[in-house]
Amino acid sequence: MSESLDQALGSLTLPGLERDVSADGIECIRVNADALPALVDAAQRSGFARFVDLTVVDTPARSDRFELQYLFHSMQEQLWLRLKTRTGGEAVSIVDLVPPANWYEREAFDMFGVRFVGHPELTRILMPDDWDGHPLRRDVALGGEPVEFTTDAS
Amino acid sequence: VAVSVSAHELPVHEKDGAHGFLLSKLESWSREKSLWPVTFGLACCAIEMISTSAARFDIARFGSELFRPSPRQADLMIVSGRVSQKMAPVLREIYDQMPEPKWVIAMGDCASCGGIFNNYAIVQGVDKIVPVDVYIPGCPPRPEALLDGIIKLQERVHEGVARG
Repeated sequence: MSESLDQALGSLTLPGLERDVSADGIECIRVNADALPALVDAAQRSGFARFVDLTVVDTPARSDRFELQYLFHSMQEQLWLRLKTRTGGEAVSIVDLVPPANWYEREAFDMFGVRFVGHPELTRILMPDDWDGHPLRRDVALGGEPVEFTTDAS
Repeated sequence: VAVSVSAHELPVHEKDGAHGFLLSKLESWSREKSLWPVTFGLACCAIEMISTSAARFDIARFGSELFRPSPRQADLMIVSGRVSQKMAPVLREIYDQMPEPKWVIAMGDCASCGGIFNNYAIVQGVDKIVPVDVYIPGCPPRPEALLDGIIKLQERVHEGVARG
């Protein structure tokens, strides 16, 4: 637990704030999607200046199906911090706060179709530009070609 | 230069007369013994390809040591690795830029048929976009396998089967 982060969060009112510690000992903070930039700003000011990763978990059964997970690291305290938020397909871009998040958000858009409002250039980054759909969504078929063999030994 | 000529090989050469025959024989001989590959490493197979060109396996023994960064100077494309849907048009363009005659080796399972990556992202075999002369199985194939593939291609060039 980071004291400076606790102080920074104490002076803020973030809707939907929940705190948890993951199984591998990383502190996780969940907020509503609108409040994420404020949370990122607070984390940055508390020393979690190194943006490491942005990942998306898709759960189609839920209305807010996409869970965005931002991983930050504090060089001073040698601590990790994971910020989580859920959205049905639209989120606020944090590129103006964290410039390195630019390509990560483009990847999340390309693979999952999450639209980041305020992103300077939200275009595909991995798939061809004329690609149809977002391949890592769970309700999208894997693709490829049918094969002759099977792994079922019986 | 001694060039062995036997009667049964005659039909594969289109040029008329003894001179034309000898010339085309020389032609395929010089082509087969200096297959310059274009530098086109795509994935883990490229590491084996690099190893093949290095000291231990020494691809220079077979005349293919000169990996050309420019497709204009190459006549062999070793597709070493999985070809993504996004890379496919690039690969085709590089192939088109190579002067004829030109040959293609599909190195490894991914280039041959997509390998384990049977999904949306990977082209299921490079033969969907360029004509392939030799397929080398393996994941990745060892340098010996690549050398064997190059020797196979040389034989086919020599016999006039793979005409580029």
